[in-house]
Amino acid sequence: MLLQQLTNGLMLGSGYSLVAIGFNLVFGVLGLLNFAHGGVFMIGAYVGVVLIVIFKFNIYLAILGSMVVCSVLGLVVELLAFRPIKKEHHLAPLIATIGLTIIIQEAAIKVFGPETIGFPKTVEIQNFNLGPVRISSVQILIFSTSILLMMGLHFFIKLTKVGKAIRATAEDSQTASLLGVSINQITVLTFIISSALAGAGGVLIGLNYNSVHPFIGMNMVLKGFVIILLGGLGNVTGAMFCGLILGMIEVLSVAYLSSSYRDAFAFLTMLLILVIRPSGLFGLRIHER
Amino acid sequence: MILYIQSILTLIGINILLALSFYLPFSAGMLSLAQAGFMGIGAYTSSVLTTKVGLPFLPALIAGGITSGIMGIIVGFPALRIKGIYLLLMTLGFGETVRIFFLNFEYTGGAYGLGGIKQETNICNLYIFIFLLVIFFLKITRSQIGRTFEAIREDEGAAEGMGINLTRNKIFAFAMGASIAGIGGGFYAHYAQFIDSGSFGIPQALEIMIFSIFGGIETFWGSIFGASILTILPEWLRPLKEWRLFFYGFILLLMMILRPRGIIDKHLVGSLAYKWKSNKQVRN
Amino acid sequence: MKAGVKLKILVIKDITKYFGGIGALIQVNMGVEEGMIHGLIGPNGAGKTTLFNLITGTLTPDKGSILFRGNDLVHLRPDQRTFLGICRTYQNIKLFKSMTVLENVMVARHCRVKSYLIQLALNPPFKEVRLEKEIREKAEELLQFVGLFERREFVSSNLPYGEQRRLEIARALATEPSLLLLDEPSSGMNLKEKEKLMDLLRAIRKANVTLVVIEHDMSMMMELADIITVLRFGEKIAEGSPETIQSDSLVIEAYLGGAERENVEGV
Repeated sequence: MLLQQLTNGLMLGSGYSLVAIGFNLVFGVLGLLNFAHGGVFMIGAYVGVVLIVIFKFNIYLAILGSMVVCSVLGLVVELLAFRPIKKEHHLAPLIATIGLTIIIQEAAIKVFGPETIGFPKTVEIQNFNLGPVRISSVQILIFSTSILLMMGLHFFIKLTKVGKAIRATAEDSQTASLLGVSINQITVLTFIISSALAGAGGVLIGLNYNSVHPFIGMNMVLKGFVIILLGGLGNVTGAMFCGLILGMIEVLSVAYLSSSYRDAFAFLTMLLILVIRPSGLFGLRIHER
Repeated sequence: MILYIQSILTLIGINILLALSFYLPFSAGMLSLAQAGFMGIGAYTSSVLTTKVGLPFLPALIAGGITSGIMGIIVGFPALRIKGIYLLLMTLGFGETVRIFFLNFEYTGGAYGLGGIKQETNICNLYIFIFLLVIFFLKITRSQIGRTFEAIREDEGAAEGMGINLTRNKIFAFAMGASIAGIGGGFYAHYAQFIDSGSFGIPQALEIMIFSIFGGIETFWGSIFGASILTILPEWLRPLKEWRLFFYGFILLLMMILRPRGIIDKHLVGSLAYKWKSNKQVRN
Repeated sequence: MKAGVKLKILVIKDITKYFGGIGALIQVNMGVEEGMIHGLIGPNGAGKTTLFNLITGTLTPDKGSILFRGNDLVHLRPDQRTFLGICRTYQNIKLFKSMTVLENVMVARHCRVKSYLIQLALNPPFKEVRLEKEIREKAEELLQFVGLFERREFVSSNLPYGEQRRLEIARALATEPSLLLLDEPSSGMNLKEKEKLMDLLRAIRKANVTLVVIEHDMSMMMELADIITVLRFGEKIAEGSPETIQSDSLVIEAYLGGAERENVEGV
């Protein structure tokens, strides 16, 4: 039933939004398409599994733990693929992050094996009926956590001094540094925040699909591309909305069309939108870097 | 052993074509990740023409190139207004659309792919084509066209102000790039004898871009070098077995840190050309 | 042609351009006579560069029209206008940075030289094609004219500021303009360089190129211009010979009364 599918899509999409926001944050502030975001996402999912299975964490602690580990990983990405490369080279950092993603992916295959593993059962599956729609406790968990984190980020960026510094750097890094903002610190912070969100997203989406394997990172990055293009490059709010939209499109097209058309729909929509409105659905200006 | 070397050389040749197909629009300031898609169009078109219509290889190959070129013109127009990273993502989207189209297109086999393609590619026809393409690039580089592309790449606004027709030049670069990729696809199909949509997706598109960036973005020789080295590299790394890809990623990362403009730069080409010319003078 | 009746090579009629709510140009009328050096002055934000952008076609006006030799330019792209004979230099210097001095000028010759694809196809790769030689020689001639011939192999971004401005002029001249728009050509130059620049501009006028010059150096403007138009907050407030302008009360007030406005367009 349509409403049910839309709701499912919304729940799934919230996880996508979480990852896409981090992706867009790095692009907005640093002008970098961070391919390694996918790698971090994938590691986040695995860390969640490890924490639950081996350390007997509950789901909330697992999400937290994953965020912490991924923050560190994000720092590593910054140190290796971003900092050593001078700003005037536009494509080199992109390829460096691709190289890094390959390394992370291979490392995961080494340590965890290439097979798909299921996400451990930690949440009691209860189904609630919200009017005509049925929601599982898992979905509620995913949705509420994502919204919570996104709102946290939103308030952080809007209200705190550091958040303002981030926005200033995204607008005009030269002026920001003249005004006393340490671009280095902001860069590091941006990577850490974005990676933490990716980690949380990894756990949540792994929980949703109940499967984790080393290649989900690549898959997520590609979805991330679509989302941030639709939502407007650099536009964090746009990324959030379009993550939800993508979730709904995916669920709908699997339900009503064959699953191989699933990705086609997303890309075709993206192409059409780009041609008609190159700044994306929510984008206001085209950032030229 | 000979067969092994032949197969490596063929792969290198095809990758050189693809890298050059990326480099041409890039030299005019257009970042395109659509080359894998154009490769697919050329591959499928030429294969259908040889297997189902019975055309000989050469005309089919050229038809594949022309078809890709026409698609390049069509995609090129909306691409005119889009810059930088946006173009990267839009062309990526186009490439994916092509892949998904062929995934579902029953006439060319859909998800099962297209098989039974005759083995037509050999070192001879492939490298003759590459040789002609190198001459083409040599001529373009040191001429009006090359200069125009560089100006467009540097500053579109100023280029237009100095009388350069952006539309004509950019469409030309983009469509030519698409054709070359299409021809690369034709060669690939008639080498591998089987193609499916999975051969023309995002990983391949990224790989093509990496050939050029890794090899050197300042001249077209960089793309040739990058394609050659990165095709051979996985073979060299074979002894490392499961660590192969790991080192591949590692080398990419290291290279971008150490030499972000790629391995071959203008100085290198310049000094080699100088040596070649002065040798020529000595010999005369 | 009767004495005193000269052709207006450029006519700007009721030109209006808004950016958001701000009127960058409001009902501006201006006529440029052929063969003159026409000055365009005004406090910052008066709309001078915007006017240049409208003439060259980078921006389209909201209202009004621009006529070049009587032809309405409205449907023409910037490169088409260059072909007609309008060219410019830029306030912020837009040279092709990684190309050499010579290459910068050569590239601007392309619009005046027919394509030579057949020649290119038939010649071996390392031999210079005849047309290419012509392009290079003409470019070298222009570099001699502005005094940059010795620097021709330098990468253009390595030139000192004043020389970069001269290079921009050489590059614009390569397009064989009949109307040349110069946006603050003396900016960053010392006194000696400015005098050489004035000689250069006079030589250009002598070669029958009409000049419209935006300048902040008032003494230079007074000495050089035949006629001056003054803009302020997007409106024309005065126009006339340098002597007239110097004593115009509105103009004096505009400059002394702090009538400056932040750069509106960000172009």
